[in-house]
Amino acid sequence: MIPSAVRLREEFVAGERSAVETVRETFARIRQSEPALHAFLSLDEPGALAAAAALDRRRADGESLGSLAGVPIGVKDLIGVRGSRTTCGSRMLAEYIAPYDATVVERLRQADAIIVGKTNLDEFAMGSSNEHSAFGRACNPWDLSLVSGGSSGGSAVAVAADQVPITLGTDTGGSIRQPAAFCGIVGLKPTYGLVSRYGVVAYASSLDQVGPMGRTAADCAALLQAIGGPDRRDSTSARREVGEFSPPDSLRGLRIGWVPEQFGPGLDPIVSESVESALRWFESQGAVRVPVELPYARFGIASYYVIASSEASSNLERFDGAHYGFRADGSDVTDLDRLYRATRTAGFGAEVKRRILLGTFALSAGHADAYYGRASRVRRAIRDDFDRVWQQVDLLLGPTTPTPPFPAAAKTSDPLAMYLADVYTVLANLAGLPAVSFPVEPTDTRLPIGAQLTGPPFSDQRLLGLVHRYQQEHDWHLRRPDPIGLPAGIPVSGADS
Amino acid sequence: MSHPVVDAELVRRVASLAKLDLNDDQVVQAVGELNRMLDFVDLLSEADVDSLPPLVHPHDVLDAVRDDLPEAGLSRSDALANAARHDDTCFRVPPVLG
Repeated sequence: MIPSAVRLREEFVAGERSAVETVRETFARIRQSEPALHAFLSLDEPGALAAAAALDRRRADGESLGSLAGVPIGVKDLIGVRGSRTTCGSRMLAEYIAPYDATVVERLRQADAIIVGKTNLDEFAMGSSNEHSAFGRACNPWDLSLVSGGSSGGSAVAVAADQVPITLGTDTGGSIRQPAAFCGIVGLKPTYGLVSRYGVVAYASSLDQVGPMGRTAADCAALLQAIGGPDRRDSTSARREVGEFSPPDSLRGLRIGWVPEQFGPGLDPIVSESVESALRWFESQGAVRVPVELPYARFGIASYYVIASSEASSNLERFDGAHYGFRADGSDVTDLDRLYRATRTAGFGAEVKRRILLGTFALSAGHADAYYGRASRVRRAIRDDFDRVWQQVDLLLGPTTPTPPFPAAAKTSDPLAMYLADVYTVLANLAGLPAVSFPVEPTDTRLPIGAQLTGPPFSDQRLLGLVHRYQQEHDWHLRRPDPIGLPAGIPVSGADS
Repeated sequence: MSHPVVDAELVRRVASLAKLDLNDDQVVQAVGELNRMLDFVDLLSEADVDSLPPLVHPHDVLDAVRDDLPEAGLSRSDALANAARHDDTCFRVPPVLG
């Protein structure tokens, strides 16, 4: 079993382990499980060993060490790491080498974390199962036939399977929280603006956030602390620091909002009972359950998919074959317009095209006000709902996902069914709120189940503090899938086309 | 609100705007999928939001701007490094007019 990130740093700083030793152990574990899991799209063992050796020398020289010193980390392959491939899970960027570090990566380096590789994802972060990765899906370590969730599936799998203690994901409509729930780990979607998006390939810019994934809330808090805070290179960066991680001594009087509609039809009873058990535990500690209403929440998915697809259709215009990435070069490519068409047609997968078409339609002349405009008005109504709720309660507790992890291929032929997997998670993105998924008592199943805490803007560390309290009294987050020593070559589904 | 009928002509027009080529089978599939998606999105017509201004960004804050000072950006060689075709100074593309 791999120690937590907090523990690994303590042991490194105390001289109980070297960084090189940690990296060697990490790659040994990855080599064992990776053929079955496919959590990573690329690995950089020489680079990680070199960084570790440099860190060991600095420790020997008595230099100060960063907050994640000696901790191996995986980075979602949508985030630029200078000199490394950044594919976004797409054929379009299969050979793309990031020319600069994203701000979050720069801050990982400043914190002395050791980047071991880039994790698998649905193409351009569009998907809820990892099955839209052009390079084959990451498999759920609890049952390889099940999906990992998405889009940050590789980041969730890498933690759940003990390959690395922490990873970075991104979350546009649930892409950190849903795979965290499906794989039995903690994942936080930070308040919009708390973490820089500079150097992160854009999907839907008003919704995207980078966030921490790990086994414990304390690890996620340490990672958030390292990557968050103002960034002059991101104009949407909030002028706010992350704040201290200080879990509460008592939960007495904590007002926990509970939305009865979220526990109605559409929620699998297995998930419902698990989330209820977490609610009951908070009540047993003196918290008060308060029923609240989010009248516009039922419009969340419709609003989200119009807005996200619209922003995606605009953001993905940049992939044209001219400046970087894949270029279609057939004999029929005789002018620039044909270059654009041939490149985009061959370079994008089916789900990306589907969303580009929806978004292009929703922004087109004659339809923009009825679709993008209306969805954006509904977005305001949803945010206003939350503003009212924060007058009544401190946070909300509900399910992260409507079902436990589902089998591969169960939803790929029905896009709308796949979109509905995000029904509880998109609300925090639309309203710009922090929300964290954490593993709770599984009911009637050996699979993990996640509950979601959502709070007011900039309550990120408070949410993680509450999860920490829960984790002090429970060990669901410490459960591991059966040891994975499977032979190489377990088939994973191929790319969509 | 009930959405406009999505037919092959509309799908082809949208695909053209998005610079995507669809073959006949893909057009048929896209017609079905877009109609189904818009059937679902019609739900938004039930929301009483006409009096609300659109929310296009989660926080009502102005863009944070930095001081307008010159500084080094991406070097030319770095900017060209990922292009499929380039010479020492420029990206190379087919003729703009065929």
